Amino acid sequence: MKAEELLQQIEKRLSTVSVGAKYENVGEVESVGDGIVRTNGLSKVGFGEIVEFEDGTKGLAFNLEEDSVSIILLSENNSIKEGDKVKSTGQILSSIGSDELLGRVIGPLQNPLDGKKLQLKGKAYPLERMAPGIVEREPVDTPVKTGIKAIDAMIPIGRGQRELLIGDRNTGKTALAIDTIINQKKKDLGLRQLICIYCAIGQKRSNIARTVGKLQEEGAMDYTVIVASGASDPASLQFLAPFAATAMGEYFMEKGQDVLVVYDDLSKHAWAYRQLSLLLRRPAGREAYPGDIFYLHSRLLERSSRMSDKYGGGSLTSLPIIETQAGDSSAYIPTNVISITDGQIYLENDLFNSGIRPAINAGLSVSRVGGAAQTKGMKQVGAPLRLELAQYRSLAAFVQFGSDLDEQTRNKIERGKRVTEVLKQPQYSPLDEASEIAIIYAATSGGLDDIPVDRIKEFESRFIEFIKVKNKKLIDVLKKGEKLDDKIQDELDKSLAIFKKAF
Amino acid sequence: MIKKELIKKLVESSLRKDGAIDKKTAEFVIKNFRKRELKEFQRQLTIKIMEQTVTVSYEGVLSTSSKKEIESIFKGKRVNFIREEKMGGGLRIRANDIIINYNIADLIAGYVNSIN
Repeated sequence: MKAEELLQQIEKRLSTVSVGAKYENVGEVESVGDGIVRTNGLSKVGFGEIVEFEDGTKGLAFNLEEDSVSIILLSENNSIKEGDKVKSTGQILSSIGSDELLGRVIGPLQNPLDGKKLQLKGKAYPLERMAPGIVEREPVDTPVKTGIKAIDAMIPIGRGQRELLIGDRNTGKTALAIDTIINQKKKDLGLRQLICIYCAIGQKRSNIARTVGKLQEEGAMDYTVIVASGASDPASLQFLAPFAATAMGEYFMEKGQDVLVVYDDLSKHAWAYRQLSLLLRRPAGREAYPGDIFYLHSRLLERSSRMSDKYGGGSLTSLPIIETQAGDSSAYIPTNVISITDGQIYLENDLFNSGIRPAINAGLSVSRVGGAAQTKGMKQVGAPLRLELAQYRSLAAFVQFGSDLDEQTRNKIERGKRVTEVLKQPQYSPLDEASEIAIIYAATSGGLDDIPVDRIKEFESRFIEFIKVKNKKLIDVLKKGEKLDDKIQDELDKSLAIFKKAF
Repeated sequence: MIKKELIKKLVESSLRKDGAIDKKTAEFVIKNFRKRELKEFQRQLTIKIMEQTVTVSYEGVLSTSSKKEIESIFKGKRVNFIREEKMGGGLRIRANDIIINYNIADLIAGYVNSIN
């Protein structure tokens, strides 16, 4: 920068500085410990207002009592001691919305964590904000393609929906979310690019680094922002992380873009809030969580919405993750979040250990609004899938008495085995709409009944490859997600028969 | 433990306008209060004194008429005038937890902050 330019900028800056009297609302530190500061004074401070200490440390006014204010500190390294001065700033916590955020790994206060510089300019979006009202919204009608057959067919997610991913540890919850982010590269069905925000809460830094590495490897970082608050970060930052991620998402949504926010996970978020609440001496309720733990998550997830065209037409889809203990989905936080969201994808340890991955329990999983966002083609092939699986599960117990079963039951079991096999899908390999429809159609129409179960996976990959090369026309039709009329079904059956001869 | 509200009432009733505390109350408190109660008493007393006191800092000379004018603004409160160096002219008024800065030193500090 030239000296003249610098002088001009300084002059411009100084011209905006007011020379009138300045008011400051101050207080004095009474006690400090565990990231919580109690002060007197600050009678004019507002809830959630940023305050500044003598050493430059910033905090958030959290408990406003009759003659004291409790503040949560936003950093660990500070030299605050009893008697120190603290002043209010008149500002509330906010995130700056900018396209510069894409491809970056940042903290909840927008500090870069990837070792690169980050200078953000733009409108500030408050971390806490009222959710859009019903007038500004529109029904969910566009799908979020996850690329995972079981989800896209049976538990579809729509843009603007809140779909919970719930299950024990190591059942593949994060993997599903990451696969969904990776799949957005395809812009399947000609849909608009989905901006993804992955919010890591209370995770090990090594895990966060692995996720970032994988997204970079798959080329997904171009449209992704990672908001990370590790397990070693203060509880205050872990508490703020999902709100910061949502605020950043709202920037893109206001621009008319579609956004997906993954909250990984809200169980740890609830722990962080419980820690803060207990330190602030708020009354403890069930499982020592504070009374407003439901409101904490509901006000966060209520901000997911599909806006009407008048209000930009953007959307914010949420994929909150909840970790259960020993499969207990009736615990406090899981039931809270289940009741807030528009459906849940339930992952089971037993399924995972028996090799069914993704370990989705189709019986307990549901999507309350996603059906409206499904394409006609997918809806058509997906409908019998749930029935086939349900029938298979109810009859599976009789498998061990194989020879005593009547033919119809035996056929149902055999079909169920093949459908289950088709729904298995390796990690980081999401499929496009056409491939999903083709293989699910093959499974539910009985086209795979004469293929040995242990060769289903091989059949699937080779069949998809086959129609992609030999029947591009059919793929083009399936890609559009249109209804499978008799002509398309005949075409699919023909391709299946030709391929089976060579298989 | 005596309730906080009672200690607060005791402070309010015993603190005189000149900032001194009633002798009888002081003796009673020192004799009978336990450590935690004493701490709360001290806390409430500090808050009450802060509420009743206005501190006006200035550099150079502040005329008697100006002082009287300031005192009339904060009626019912004790106004202390303190001469402070390095303020470069102007005033700084502290009333309870509100600070009004109208002096050269703070103005320059504001400029520097803004440039930074």
